[in-house]
Amino acid sequence: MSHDFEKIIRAADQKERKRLFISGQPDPIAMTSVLKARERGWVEPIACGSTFTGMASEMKVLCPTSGIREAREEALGLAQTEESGLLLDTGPLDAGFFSLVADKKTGHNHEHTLSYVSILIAPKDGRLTLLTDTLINNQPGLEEKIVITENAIGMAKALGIQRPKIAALSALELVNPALPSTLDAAILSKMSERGQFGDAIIEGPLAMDNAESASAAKHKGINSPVPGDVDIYLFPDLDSANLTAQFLAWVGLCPLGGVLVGAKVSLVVRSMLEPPESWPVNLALGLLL
Amino acid sequence: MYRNFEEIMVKAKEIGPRKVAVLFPDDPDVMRAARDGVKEGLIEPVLVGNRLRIEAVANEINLPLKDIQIFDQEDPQEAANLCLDMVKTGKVAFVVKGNILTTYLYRALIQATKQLAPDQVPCTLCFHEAPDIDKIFAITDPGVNILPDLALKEMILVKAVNILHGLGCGRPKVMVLAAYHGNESNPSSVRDAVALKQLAGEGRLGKCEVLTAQNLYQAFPDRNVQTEDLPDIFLVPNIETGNILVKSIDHIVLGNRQGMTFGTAVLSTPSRSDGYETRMTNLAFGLVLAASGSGEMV
Repeated sequence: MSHDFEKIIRAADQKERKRLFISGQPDPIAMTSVLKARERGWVEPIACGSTFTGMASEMKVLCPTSGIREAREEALGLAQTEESGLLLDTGPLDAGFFSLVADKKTGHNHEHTLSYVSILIAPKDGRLTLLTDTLINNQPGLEEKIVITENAIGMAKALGIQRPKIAALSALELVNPALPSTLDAAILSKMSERGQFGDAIIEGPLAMDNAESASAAKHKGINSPVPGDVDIYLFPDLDSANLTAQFLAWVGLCPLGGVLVGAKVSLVVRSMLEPPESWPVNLALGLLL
Repeated sequence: MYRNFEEIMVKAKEIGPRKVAVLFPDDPDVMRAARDGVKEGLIEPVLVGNRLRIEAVANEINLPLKDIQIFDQEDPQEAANLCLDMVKTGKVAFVVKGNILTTYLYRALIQATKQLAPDQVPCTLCFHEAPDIDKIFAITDPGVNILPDLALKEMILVKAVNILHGLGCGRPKVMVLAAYHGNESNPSSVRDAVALKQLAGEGRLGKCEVLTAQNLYQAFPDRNVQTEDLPDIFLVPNIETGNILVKSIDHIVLGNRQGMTFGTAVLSTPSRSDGYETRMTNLAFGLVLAASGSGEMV
């Protein structure tokens, strides 16, 4: 378990125990993490599907004969009937998984947009930083960006950040009609000014240098409390978000956690961005959400 | 290939001093870099901008101007055009951007490139050093081209590969970047990568290797990045990805970044917020790249 995420782990310790329904493929590291989470008093795990039969003898297995899709449906349905149900899926996070959780017909995710929030401990100052959407929405329009932002604000508040500061990123800090992402960022920024995101401050468009450094922003004449004090980086598209997160993890060796946000129930997964060691922190994030 | 910025600086000191145009040097950090560039034997600055403002800042940092050529030109576009003309006629080796919006320099460069080398496209390369990576790698294009199509990507890569050759990287490894996610893939960037690999096979990009992997996850599934396997050139799908990525590397990963723009001239294009150290290294990069013929027609 990464020491860096200690704060998140400790916050999860304070939460009430929840029933955790598990679906997906067999994953020994995930199951070890689940058993540890049970020891810590976080969850009461219940596995669904034949893949788990005999894997964890000390764990209850429901629908022991069904395949991965049926088991996932079962687990999702059960998690939803709980007051504050929790689902953990060990993957693969393929089209089958996403079609199930986003299926409007089954009502699993009615009128919601799913998005992914990556959690990073900034190497420079150890600050807990959220990046979104690093996994799901390919080229989000303004409507999706509004939901992606709300989803991330929800996660930030669950992490104890009372008034999240959000940098709506683009390639530059000037509004430029040739670059639609600067328009989206400017609109989100104006919406936040009018209180449309509640207790949160969005500044944008910002380039990464003036988002990250108060003095760089000042140098460019940006007067805002956000630069240099960012809790959430809102990326303009999936390429920029996912590839930047990969560089941070692979080249920068920053530990990443991650959480799927916007579903009716808390969904604990591990995306390709996180190493297997991130299962405990991902579980804690799902518990806090 | 140079392993780090230090090696670039050593090489630059061998090459210098060369005449270099400094566009709008009326900023203390820019002026200090010009002053110390002279001291280090790197450059002989030619200052272009408003004479009064130049004199005021020079005075502020105790730089005597008596042996330094100044072109008094207040209009930013005229001043940028003048700098490009000086490169064209061989009066200066390259141009350093000072306290001015990059747009003016880009416009001048795009104009000059259209005239002199219509088959080329101006593009920015950011050179990086990162902790635990024992070589310089480049990311393109975070500065000029907003959403390059296949034809533009080809032109950018031809330029980038040629520049890397000039830096002593004989057969650069190229990664055509695209996000990895489980939901759906972005067909256009995957298609472009396949096409570019094909073009590389036909020798149309110059000597290089276009990798099949389109991101670090695919290239290093065990998350263990070895310097020799890391691509030398990363081609980004759009300007947002490029710009955010290059700035994340120095601001979050704690590496370093040098932004240079190429067309028919070499432009040193730091961010206006870059500090003194970055600007000194910028002079060194400009010298090494100009000397390697990176601003010439490919």
